[in-house]
Amino acid sequence: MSKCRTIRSLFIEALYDELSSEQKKTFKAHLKSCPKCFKAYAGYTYVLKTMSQRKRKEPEQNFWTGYWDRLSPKLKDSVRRSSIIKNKPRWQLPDIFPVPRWVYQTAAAVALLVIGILIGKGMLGPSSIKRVIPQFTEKRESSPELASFENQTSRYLEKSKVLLLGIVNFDVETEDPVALDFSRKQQVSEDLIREAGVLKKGLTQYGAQEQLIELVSDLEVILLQIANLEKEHDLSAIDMVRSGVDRKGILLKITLEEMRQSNTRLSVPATNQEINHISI
Amino acid sequence: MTEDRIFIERAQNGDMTAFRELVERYKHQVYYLALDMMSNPQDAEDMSQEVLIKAYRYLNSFRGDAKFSSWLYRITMNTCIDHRRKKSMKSMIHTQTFDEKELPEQDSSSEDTETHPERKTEANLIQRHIDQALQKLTDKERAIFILRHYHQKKFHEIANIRKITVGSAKGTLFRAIQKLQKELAFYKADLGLETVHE
Repeated sequence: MSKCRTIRSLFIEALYDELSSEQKKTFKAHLKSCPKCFKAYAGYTYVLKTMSQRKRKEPEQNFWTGYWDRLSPKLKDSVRRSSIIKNKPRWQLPDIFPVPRWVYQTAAAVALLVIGILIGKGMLGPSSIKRVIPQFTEKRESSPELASFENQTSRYLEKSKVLLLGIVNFDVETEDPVALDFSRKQQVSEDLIREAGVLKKGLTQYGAQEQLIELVSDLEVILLQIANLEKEHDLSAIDMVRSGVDRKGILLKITLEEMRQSNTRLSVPATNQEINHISI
Repeated sequence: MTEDRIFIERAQNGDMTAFRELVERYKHQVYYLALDMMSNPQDAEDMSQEVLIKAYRYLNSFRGDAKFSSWLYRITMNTCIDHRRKKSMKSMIHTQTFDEKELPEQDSSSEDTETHPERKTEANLIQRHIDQALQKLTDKERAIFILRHYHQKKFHEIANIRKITVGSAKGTLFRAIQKLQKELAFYKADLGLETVHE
């Protein structure tokens, strides 16, 4: 059986007549004595015989005579294209003052940095504040009634701002709570709350900006907190009012609204400098 | 070969006439190898031209360690295999269509197909069977079978062309022949398949 295996390992050389004369002798002797190997070998021989019957489709005679004529233009085209690629002039500065490579690299790095800064400024700079909160800076067409309500609101916001600034800027550690005159502030707050009710109604009726109505409402909540304080000199209450003002960004919104009003009156848009000042 | 060397050197220096001489000498073998690989005269011409263009472009990389014909054979094989790979999906669909429409009786177990060769002896049918059997081989198997069987290349030459070992060339060729035997199984009795079951 191991003899059969050895002989079968020689099949491929035997099929293509690449056995040595010694191997040929052994091979032939085995096939004579082993019908299984003989049949197997005969089977492969027949496969090759069958495959040898394959006939190629011969091309016509003019195929060969015109072969170079068909190849030649393609060859020339290929040569032309490869020479274009090889000789393609590389972009470079005139070689009057030879510049080291690192200079180009540094220049490229600086250019990238500048572009990055410009993009960053464009995305995060003051102009973006305009885009984020355009409602406070854009100019609007308004009816006389609305204009009247907006003027009243403007005065209301001014008074509220003065009131709130007094509270927000009060330093509990260095200043005397009595000096704050809280009862007076509570009284002003009550007046402003009453005014807020009328303003909200009018602003809503005449189609004022939602942000303005929202600001009046937010302010009303803060004023209610002040008006409802039980102990006049309660420092924790002052802190509570202060955090409410901060949380809602009331003072910033008032300032922005003032700017909008000012723009409307002067028909001049707010400058970047002004906005910069606010954002700081 | 010596003459080849002269023409090669001249062509390497840009002499197109010398390269034309080389083309005239080797165009047949390049074309027929491409035809054997591609089984389509149009593809074969395109491939042969592509091979000769590549040969001209990379002629300077030919150092003369091997025969110029072996170098051309290698470029031809690689170009054809690459091309076949690129259109493998199309070729698979094509083969399927061919199988279904033109060779309806391929079931070797059927009594009818056993008697098939006797009844249909037309040469064109045998050609189709052979071509179809060749298509069933992998690109590597087909390449080695074609080089050995139709181009009479010795195993060491095949190894050189395909950049493989002689043992690997022999092993791949034997596998190819076994596959062909199965593909041509409807010639069962003649191929000795009835008795070879171990």
